[in-house]
Amino acid sequence: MRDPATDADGVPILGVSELVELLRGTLRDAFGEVRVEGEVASLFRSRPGHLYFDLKDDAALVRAVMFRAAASAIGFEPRDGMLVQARGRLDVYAERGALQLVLSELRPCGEGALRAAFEKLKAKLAAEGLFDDEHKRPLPFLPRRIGLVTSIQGAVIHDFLRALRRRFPSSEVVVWDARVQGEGAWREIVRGLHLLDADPTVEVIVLARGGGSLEDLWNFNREELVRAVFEATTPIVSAIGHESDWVLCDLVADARAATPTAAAALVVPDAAQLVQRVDELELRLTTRTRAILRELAHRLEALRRGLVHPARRLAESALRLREQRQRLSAAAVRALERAGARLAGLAGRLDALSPLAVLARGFGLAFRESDGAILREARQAPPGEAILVRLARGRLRATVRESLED
Amino acid sequence: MAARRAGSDAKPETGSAEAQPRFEDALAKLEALVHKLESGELDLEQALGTFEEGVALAKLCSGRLETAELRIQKLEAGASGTVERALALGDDD
Repeated sequence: MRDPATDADGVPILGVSELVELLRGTLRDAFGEVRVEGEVASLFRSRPGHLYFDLKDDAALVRAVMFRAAASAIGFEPRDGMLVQARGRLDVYAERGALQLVLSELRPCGEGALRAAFEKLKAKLAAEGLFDDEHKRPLPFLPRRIGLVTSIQGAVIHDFLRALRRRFPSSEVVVWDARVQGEGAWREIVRGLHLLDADPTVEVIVLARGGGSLEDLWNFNREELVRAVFEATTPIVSAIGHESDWVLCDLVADARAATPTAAAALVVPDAAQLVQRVDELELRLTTRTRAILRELAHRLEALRRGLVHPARRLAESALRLREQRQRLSAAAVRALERAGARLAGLAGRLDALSPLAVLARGFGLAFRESDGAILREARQAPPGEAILVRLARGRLRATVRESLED
Repeated sequence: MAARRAGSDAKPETGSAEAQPRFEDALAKLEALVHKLESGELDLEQALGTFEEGVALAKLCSGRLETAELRIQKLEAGASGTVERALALGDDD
């Protein structure tokens, strides 16, 4: 390096490159990152995909460049005349000595433009199949740990945790504290998503944020975030905004909840109901086992009573036998005497009572063949039943055609 | 079209550290045991074995359901990786 030349007054004389380099350093230090809102003009997209345009308002203009990596991720098609909000750093394009903004982010301004950008990105991602039902994965019945990406400031996290506490008190939550609105917030959200997704004990991830305007919710429409949700291996529940605010995150997520409270109900079961179910099952288990044991005890008792020593049983039997024999002979004598007397009386009536006598008068006796039961009522023998009819002489085997009640 | 989450259908199991069965599996097994016991097709030995296994599962399930404190960890990423710290958010119930 040559010694810096100075003029007669001792003021250093700079080379052009040195001057530009100094200017660059000054710009960097003085401005850092800037956000600029303005209108797009003279837009040109180079072959490799870099974007060049002027950013201007009524009175001023600044050149802007957005290199391919950043330009491919903006999720909308900038056009001349469009009002945009840009974020980037000031730089000097050395070859032309021109001031330029090197942009890292660009988004449309105003509700109408945002809406158009939203619809466009939605159509693009839908065409790729990111929102298809076939990609939705089921939420676990009871996750070991619940990942939560949200801001730990504000009501949303409190609502969610309160609902969890009520529904499944022994839940475990891992929170990634991220800004959920404002420039670049999506980067923090994506980061948390990746970290939680990589943890195998985190079995479901909830993205939560309160309601807001399309602009407030814009981070949840960022293509990078939508793709990160799509690519995560862990099931993701999107709880962004209110019932009426739909963001692309909602469409790509595995489940959508309208509120943080509803999200809690999606990710854990109701512990009180489960307690009841387990208690009931345990009761049935015990009741049934008791019944089995009681039945067994009865059978054992019955067996025990029947279990007598053979010798004793023999002696008892001999004794009983002797007794019985004596009683039998005495009874037999008495019975014989009685029988003799009755026999005489009966003989006369017997003829009249005999079924054979009745049959002789033309009656028949019907029996069911299957069990020999005498048929007294038609309904004892339904159609198809095989019956036997006994007549005074001979028998008929028949099958019932019809069974008629009187 | 979109090749989602290529190759990985589920999260990997954490391995031997988690010997405990999942709650829903334990509950399903408990229900199966109760049905088996109520079917009346078991001999005494089997019935008692089923009962013991069932009671153990019921205890496991109840344990998981017992009211305990909600555990809240805050994930932080630093130069040397991520750490988790207990997060106190002030009970608002």
